[in-house]
Order: sequence, then C-alpha cells, then structure tokens
Amino acid sequence: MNRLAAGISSRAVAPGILRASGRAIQYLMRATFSTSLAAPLPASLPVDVGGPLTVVDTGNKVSQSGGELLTGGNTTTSDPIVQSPAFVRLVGRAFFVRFNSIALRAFAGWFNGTAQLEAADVDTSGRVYINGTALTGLFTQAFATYYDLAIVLRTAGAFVFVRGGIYTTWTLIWAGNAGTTSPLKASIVAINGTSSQKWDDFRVLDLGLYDARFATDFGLATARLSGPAAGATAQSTADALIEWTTPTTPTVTSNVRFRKVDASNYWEVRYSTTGFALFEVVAGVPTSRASDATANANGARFVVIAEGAVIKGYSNNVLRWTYSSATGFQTATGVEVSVLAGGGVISELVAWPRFVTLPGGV
Amino acid sequence: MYRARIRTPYAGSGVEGDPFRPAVADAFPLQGWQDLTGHPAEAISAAPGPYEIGAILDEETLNAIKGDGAYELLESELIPDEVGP
Repeated sequence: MNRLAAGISSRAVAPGILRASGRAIQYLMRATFSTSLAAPLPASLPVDVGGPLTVVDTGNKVSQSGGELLTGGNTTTSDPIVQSPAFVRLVGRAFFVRFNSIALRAFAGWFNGTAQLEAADVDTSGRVYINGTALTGLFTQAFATYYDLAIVLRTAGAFVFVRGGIYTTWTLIWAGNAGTTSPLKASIVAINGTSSQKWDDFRVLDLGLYDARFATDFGLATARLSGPAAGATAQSTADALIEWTTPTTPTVTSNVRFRKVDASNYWEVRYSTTGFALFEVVAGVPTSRASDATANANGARFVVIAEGAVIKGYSNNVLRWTYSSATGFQTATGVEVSVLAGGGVISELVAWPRFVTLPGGV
Repeated sequence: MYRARIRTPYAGSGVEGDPFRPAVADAFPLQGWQDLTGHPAEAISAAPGPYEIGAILDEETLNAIKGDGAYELLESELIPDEVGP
C-alpha cells in the first residue's frame, strides 16, 4: 500500500502518477506488496512495475501482509535479502522505500552484490553508508515509526534523504561524494536474528526527470564555490549542510564562517592539519563551543550540519562534535571563507539545503 | 578512549586570539570536547561561571583530571568499539 500518496490508492497510481505539472512519473520498478503472501515468497517475486524482486530467504523469514513486506530477522549474513534488478548508476537515479523498524537492524539502499554501498541503517543508530563506509550520528530514528527513505545517486556517492518521525519534511541527511560502482541493486536486508521490519512502496525512478535539481550532481546546491580565495562569500539556507575539501590542508588555522549576520556576528569553523573547532562570535566576542584534535591530512573533507539549534561537525566522514545550544543567528544565511592560511587550499565549498521539497507523487 | 562530562571554569578574555574556552582543555590534552551547557555568549562575558563540557580523552588524562581540584569529573564511561558491520 502506498501511504505516500495520501488519499490515493496505490493501485490507482501504478504504474505512473500524473503530477500537477502534467508529467507522469514513470517508475523503473515499483513494488507495493498489496497481495498477502506467506513465507516463503517466490525467489523471483513479481511486482507492480518492472522487476521482479529477487528474494533470498532460506529461513522463511519474509512475507507479505497488510500491504507491506515483512522481514522477521535473518538466518545468516545477507539472508534474507530482497533486491531489484541491477540498475546502471545515473545522476538522479533514486531508490525510495518506506520502512518501519520494530526491532534491531536492517539495511536499505543501493547494493553491489550483497554489500551496502549507498545505504542507510534501519535502526536507531542513525548510520548511513557511502561507498560502503559507515557514517554515524547522522539522523535520529525511533522504533515502531514509519519513515520514508530516498537514496539518490550522484556520479560519485549519493544523497540520503529521510522523512518521518521528527523529520516532518524531506531532510537531506548526507551528501556523499565517494564511490562510482555501477550497476547497483536497490535492496533491503535483515542483519540480525531478532530484527523485525515492515517495508512498503519499494521503487526506483529517475528523479532528475521530474525535478531538474537532481539532473546534475550539484543542481541541489544553494552555493558552490570552486577554489575559493579568502574573502569569498556565498549564501546557504539557514538550515544547511556546508562542505569543503582541502587538497592541501592548512598547517595554520583557517576559517569558514556560516550563519553569518555581519562581520562581528557569525558561527565559524577553524580547521587545520591538527584540529577542527566550532566558534560562536557575538558582537566580535569569540567563544569556543567545540573542538577536536584529530589530524586532518591533505584531501580532508569537512562538513558542518546546522539545523535549528544543533550544529554538528564531521571531518573525513566522522562526527567530531555536536553543539546543541546554537540559538544565535539561526536564520542567518551568510557563508564566507574568512581565512585561508598555512598554505591551505579549498578545492570546493558547497552549501546544500537541509530541508527539501521533492516532487509530489514520487 | 573515554567519554566524560566535566565541570570546568572558563579560560580566555573573549577577544580574538584568546576566546572564551574551557580551562580544562588548556590544562589537559583532550582529544575533543563540546560545550554541553551552552551559556549564551552575552552571559559568559558578563559572568563566566563554571560550565559543563563533554570530552573525549584517554585514561591517563581522565585520571589526572580526577585528581585536579580545579575541575569536577561528573561522569565517565569507556567508549565501546563500534558494532559492525
């Protein structure tokens, strides 16, 4: 059952939904699990559009009931696993699925074989996987709650979006930029013997056909500065992901400001080969709010996620700090490369919106 | 490594090059820390009282802070290894 299209039965909308713009969404694959089926499911499971789904389930732990696919724990690694046919990696190619995790863990996302490459952990851990690397602390899940997950491929890496629970609108959880493996399979897999999940509306589509922001790697960005010099400025949304990569990481502290009101009021990240820290500057008075002493080599990638009063800092895909009382300048949108010292070079600074409206009916 | 909650005075005068910051981070080699209290910046300038930080630190540093009366170790725990996969 497709609960995303409120008031519209899933059967009425498959295979395509006629959007207000008049352009029907054509799914490359869609499964709404409308028919109740006891385990074991067919190894080649027919679906609403495209497909079939391939089901590996030696322990009879996967069934369909109540308009949902149910996974009741695993038998062994990668069993059970439910996978789409292989799809070539294309910019904007998106896997959407709705899930409700009752207990413990599962993965959902784009897989290479049985390896989760661009994926999310369906659990309370808040992990996502980019090119198979786990990133922690990225989003907050509760058990027994419905979430919509969208993993949108880029030339390298993927965007991970979540809606549901505390996320009242589509929220950009991470903008991954590593990994070019192709083809990939949209997949779900239970990874704990006592895990329990419900899944619905498993679908693949080319999002860029319906929203031009996803037709290119950086179409969603609110700002993109290539090789910015000190003093370069940009605008973000107030709630934003701001990332920059340093082919040459500075040996002396360099600074990037965000949520900047003016020259005396802003948030600032100060980073170097030896640290990564958050400062609040109010009326020119600096207060250090968080710091991390992990070494940052050349090629480091720094990401700041600002949402409401919470600011998180990641370096090299690892959460380094979280400051949860960032009430100052919450609506400010200025970004500035304020200091580039110690031989530091930024190859690219990109600002992404934290909250995104996706086309209706996807 | 350990995760600890520490009460510390502020250091610094609130000017560029000498920001307000936790004194314990000046005195001991913390791997990382974050302000847990979140005093408004204006309040720190007016009366910089003690506040709490969450810190990542090694066992030796943890024990040294325990024995230093300038700081109060409120709680600590060993950081478990990340559960795979």
